[in-house]
This record gives sequence, structure tokens and C-alpha cells, in this order.
Amino acid sequence: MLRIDNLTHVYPNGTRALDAVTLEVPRGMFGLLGPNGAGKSSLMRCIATLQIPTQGAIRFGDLDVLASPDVLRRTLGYLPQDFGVYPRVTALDMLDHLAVLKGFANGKERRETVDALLHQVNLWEVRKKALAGFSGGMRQRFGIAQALLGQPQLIIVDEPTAGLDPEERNRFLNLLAEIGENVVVILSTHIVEDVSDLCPSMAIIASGRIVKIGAPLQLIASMNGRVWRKTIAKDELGAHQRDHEVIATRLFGGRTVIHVLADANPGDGFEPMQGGLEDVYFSTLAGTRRQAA
Amino acid sequence: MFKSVAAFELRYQLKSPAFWVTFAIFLLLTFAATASDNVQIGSGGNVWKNSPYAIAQTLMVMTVFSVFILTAFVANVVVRDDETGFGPIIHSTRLSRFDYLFGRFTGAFLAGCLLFLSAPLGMIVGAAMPWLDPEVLGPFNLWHYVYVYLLLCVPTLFVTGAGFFAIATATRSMMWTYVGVIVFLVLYLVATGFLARPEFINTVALVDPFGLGAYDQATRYWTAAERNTQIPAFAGYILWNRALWVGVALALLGLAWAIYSRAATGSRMAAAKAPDQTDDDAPAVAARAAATPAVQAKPSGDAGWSQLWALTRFDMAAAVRSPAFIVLLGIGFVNSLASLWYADERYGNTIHPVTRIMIEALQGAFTIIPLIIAIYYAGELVWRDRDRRMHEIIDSTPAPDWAFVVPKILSISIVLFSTLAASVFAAIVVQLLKGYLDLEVGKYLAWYVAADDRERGAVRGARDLHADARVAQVLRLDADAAVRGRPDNLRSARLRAQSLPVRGQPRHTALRHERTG
Repeated sequence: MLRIDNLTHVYPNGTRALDAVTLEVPRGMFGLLGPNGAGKSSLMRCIATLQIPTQGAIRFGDLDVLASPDVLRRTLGYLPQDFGVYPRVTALDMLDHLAVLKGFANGKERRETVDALLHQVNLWEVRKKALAGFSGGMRQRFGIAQALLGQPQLIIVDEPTAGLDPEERNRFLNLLAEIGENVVVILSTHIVEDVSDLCPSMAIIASGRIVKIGAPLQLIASMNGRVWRKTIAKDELGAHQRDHEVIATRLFGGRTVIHVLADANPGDGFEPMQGGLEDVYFSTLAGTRRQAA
Repeated sequence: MFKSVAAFELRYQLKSPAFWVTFAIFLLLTFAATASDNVQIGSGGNVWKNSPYAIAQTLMVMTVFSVFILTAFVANVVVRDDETGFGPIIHSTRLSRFDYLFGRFTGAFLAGCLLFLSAPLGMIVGAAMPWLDPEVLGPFNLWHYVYVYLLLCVPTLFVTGAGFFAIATATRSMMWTYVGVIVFLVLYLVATGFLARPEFINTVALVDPFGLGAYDQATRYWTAAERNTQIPAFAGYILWNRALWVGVALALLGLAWAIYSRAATGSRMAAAKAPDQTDDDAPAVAARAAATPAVQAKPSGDAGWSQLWALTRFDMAAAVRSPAFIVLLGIGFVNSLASLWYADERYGNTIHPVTRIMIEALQGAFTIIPLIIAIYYAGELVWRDRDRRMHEIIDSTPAPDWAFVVPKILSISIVLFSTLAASVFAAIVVQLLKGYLDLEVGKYLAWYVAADDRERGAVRGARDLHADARVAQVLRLDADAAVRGRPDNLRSARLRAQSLPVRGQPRHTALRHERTG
């Protein structure tokens, strides 16, 4: 549905944010996972017609996005990573104004859409309050409401759950899950659970390159029998990092738990475990770092 | 879509406190000019207070004042989306470039026109005051106000609005737009000074963007009785002048449309957002972390001279490194070099360029510049943290309250002192070029730098920093910051209390500046 071909973007200061990104995004929820600074937002901004890439092509269906951005904008919903709001404007007024900008000329139709969306994102009670006074979660829900205006075919949400509390995050993911399977939704995030909770397909981006594409379940299955766990003391970490391919270290109850990747049981007190998407993510990132070094 | 964008913009601007504050200020100014003998706007003269001549003079001078507020409105239109970060959402809608730019411009311009209604309104109310001597009033005639407002003032608002809208579109920066306003006003003052001779009267009538010259030319030989009862026909130079400038305004709007690009909203912004790709490799980080002692040195906590100096330097850098400072200084130099060069000509004779004469020339031509710098940076320094959303971090540091006031006053004083010192340098260069060697540097210091600096800087700074900041706030009309600046936390409330004027009323700096200009 959405095809990205050999997309490269170099910022004026020489930063190569995207490096020959090629990606095919099907209908449904698509997760784009990557660490901070991997180029997620640059890619999102290019697809959202806000930035002209240095080279490459983006096609949505039959549409050449870079040649006719105006046409894409008619079916686009975009929630940027971080947006401020105008002071003194209420949620209702702002959403109504955005509805106008998205092409709702008919007043009655527009009001109905805006009201429905405000109900849907649970902001109906506070619709007459100023946006500037909203909490982070409320602001994000306003953000998704505006992205859903006008039944877009392509929805881009850029790190929508960063900074939300677990309850708000659930509420937000539920909203996303309701969007339906007939549109393309790109969810860019650095939070692995967002992707494993929602997305039937995904890609991992690191240092401006796509390093893994697939379905989360499939990717997890590919790690079957290769992830091993061990609880160690803090000062043993260095030695283990030298001897094994450590993909993740975390603290659990004050002790260090490490996950290593190995085709056979490394012995030495390691026990087998069922790897999750997080292990896929970390082992992929570890792989790219090794290649770079 | 055009209509609803314009309507949204108009409603938005009408909600801003800046609109209503300025509305009240304009109303009071023209009210006072009409209802009291102590305040005068325009040249006045031997005419009725509500004569068409007085109405035109007062309202047209008010259009000069209105440049600041109008610029705030029209520049806000384009700068707002970048500043708040709401831009990406707007730009990814199907809103066309034409509707975005001109819908918003129309809304902001209409807000400016509504705002300017306060000026004639103030005059009408002022003229109705019972204490006025009936001798100085003529019969009320609404048509005179309508004529002046619609045909003389609104076109001017359109011109200045369009011009500074174009600058804001090109620079995407409130600060550069205001630099543009100041350059424009200084050039306007210099040009009017230069062209204030009978042989240029027709030229001025045509090219004065505010239309003052055209009105002056049309009523030049009128008697007081004529000035009391007649308005000039909308023809001749008045018509040509208005037509010329409306044409210029349309051209500027076209230019703004051509310059504006919505994709890749400025490489500046994109570059700032570009991620930093310094991938530290894990072992090195771990090694460094291991090398860092677990307990960091505790800050000693007592704020000493070195801290004061460090903070002052930091605040000074904000002023000195900004392009506006350099531009302002540049304008000041060009302006003062010209007067310095001709300062030794008196009534056709050439006299020695002694220091006394040089000081006189500088006082006439240069001193406005430190004043503008003081106003601008007092506001900038006080509001900087809030504007950049840093204030919560700053306010939660254990720094004592003086650390927020004293360095700011010091740094403004030092910056002003350096500007004045620089202008002295220019004067000395002129003296040397003219072959005059008795420089009397002591006199410069005693009579110009010290006197001025004492006046504008150190002492006044302590007293008026707050007033200046307020005035700057009104002039910049950064209404958003004003709203964010609710005294919702203790420190800013305390800061405010501390910087309140210690004795007497703060002098009304805004009025004084206008008079100096």
C-alpha cells in the first residue's frame, strides 16, 4: 500500500538521518521500532509531506507522494511526536478549525464529526477548556482525534505513548486499535510493548537504516531456543559481556539478569528461556552495533 | 476555506490580552490628547480639538504607533506555528498556501483595523467631555472621523501590516521582524528629517507611507477656519500616495506568497531537530562510568563573586551574540557618523570638531540606540526562560533570588556602557580624520558615557528594569508569554516584587521613547 524506495535524507549539518530506506507497509497497524535518534521522526516527517527527502521515492497506492503532496494530505492523519498548542484556544474550537482545514465545508457535518470524535477520545466533558491546560494524556488524545478527522487512509503517529502513564497508555492504544484494518497506520515508537500489543507487522530502524522487517510473532519464533538467561552479581557483568553475546541486561530485585544469544546452551549456569519481542529488538540493535564497530 | 481561516484568526487575535491592552492604551491616548491640554499627539496648532485637521493629525500619528501592535498580529500569523510546534499538524492538512497565508493575514489585519477603531473612539469620547472649553470645539461630524479612518488610516495599516508580514514570512522570526520595524522607523525618521525642506514637499507627499506628507501638502496653505471645517478632497497627492502604497502592499503580499514554503519548514528548524548521532560504544561508556566517583563533589552553596560574574557573562552573551544587537548598533553608527561628520558646520561656517560638539551630535543621533537595546534586552532577559520553556528547570535550582536580578541589571549596564564607548570611539575617529588632535577623552567619559550610563544604565536599571521589561512586553506584545507568565510559582512572584520600582512611579518609558524618536 505504502511503498518507500531508497529514501535518503541528509540534514544541512551533514547528519545522515535516513540512509537508503526501502520499506513496504501493508494495510493495518505497522510498528516502526527504533532507539532515539534512529531516524524514525525524519522518516515520519518525510511521509507526512513535511520534509522533502534528499533522494528516494514514496508511493501511496498509485500516488507519487513527493510529486503531489497536496493529494496525499487529503487522506492523511498525522500526529507529530511533540506538538505545542496555541494559548487560549479550547479543544472544541481547535478541532473544529482543523476540521475546516481538512476539508469539512458543511457546517452540520463538521459539527457532528467533531462531536463524535470528542466523545470517542473521551474529551467531551472538557471540550470547552483551553488545550494549554490539558495533561499530557489528554493532549495526546486530542492529537489522535485530530489525526482521525475526515477518515484518513494513511495515519502516522509518531511516538504517541512516550511520557504517558500506564493507564493513559492503555487508553491511547485502545483508541489506535479501533481505527480499523482498512487503513494504513504507521506507529513509530521506541517502546517495544506498543508494537507487540498492536502491530501485526513491523520494522526495526537503527542509524537511519531498516535492519529488520517481519511479523512480531514470526520474529519471536526465529529466536526460539536461542535465548538464555542468568542471574549474576554486578561485578561479573564485564566478564560475561566478554565471553557471551549479551543482548540485554536488566535489574530484577537488585540483582543483574542477563540475556544472551547462543545457538546451543552455553552452560555456566545459564537456563533456557522464551525470548520476547524485546529480545528480538535488543539482539538486532546489538547486531548493528557490532557491525558498525 | 479562506473565510473560515480568516474568521478563526480574527477570533483568535480578539482573544489575546495584547489586543485589549493596546485597545485601551490607544483609547486613552487619543482621549487624553482631546480632553486635556497636557497631552498632544501630532502638531495640533490653532484649530478646534475635533476639527478635521486635528482628527487627521492625531489619527495619522497614531498609525505610526500602531506599527508595533500590527506587526505583532501579522507576524504572529506565520511565526506562531513554528513557535508552538503545532505547525506539523496544520501543514499536513489540505489547507492551501494561499488560504493559509492570506486567510490568516486577513484575519490579523481585520483585528488590527478593529483595534485601531479605539483611536477615533477615544477622540469622540474625549471631545464630549463637559470640562472642555466650548471655544476649542466645533460641531460633531461623524463623517470626518470616517473619512480619516477609512481613507487615511486603514490603507496605512494595510501597508505596514503587509510589509512586516512579508518580513515575518521570510525570516520566520519575531525578533528579526522587530528588527525590521526598528530599521524601518529609524529610516523613516532619518528620511523625514532629511526631506523636511520646501523643495521636497511634493516628493514627501508621494512617498510618505503614513500619508502625513500628503495631508500636509494638501492643507499647507489653509487658514485655521478652513482647517476647522474642511477635509481635503480624496484626490491629488493624497489619492496618489494611498494608491501607490496600497500597490506596494499588494506587491509585498505577493512576495510573501512567493517566499513562503511549507514543506521542509526551514532548514534551520530541521537542522535543530536533527538527531545527534554520536553513538558511544558500550564498553567505553561503561569504563567512563566506572571511572566517575560515585559521590560527586557537593556544591559549596555560597554564591560568591565568581558566580555573579559567571551569570553576568551568560546574560551579556545573550545580548551581544544576538544579530539584533549588531544590526541596532550598525544603524546607530550610520546615523551618528552622518551627524558627527557634519557636526562642525554651523550656519555655513566650519568650526573645530571639539569634543563638546561631538558629544552634542552623539546625544542627538545615537542615544536612542542604547535606549532601544535596553528595552529590548530587559524584556528578553526577563522572559527568556519562559519563552524557551526552561523556567521550571531554572526556578527549581537552589540559586538565591538575587541571582535572577542582579546579573541581569549588571549585564544590561555593561552592554549599554560598551555601546556608548563604541560611539565615543566613532566620534574620536571622526575627530582624527578631520585632523583634530585635542581629544579630551576625559570629557567624553564624564559628560557623555558616565552621564548617560548613569541615566540609562546602572542606577535606572535597578529601578526601571521591571518597568522596561513591562514596556518591552507591551511593545513586543508577546501576549503568549504574558499569559504563560501568570504568577503561578513563587519565584517569579518574588522576582516581580523585588524588581518593583523602589521609589516613585516608574517613568513612562514608552512615551518618552516616542518623544525622543
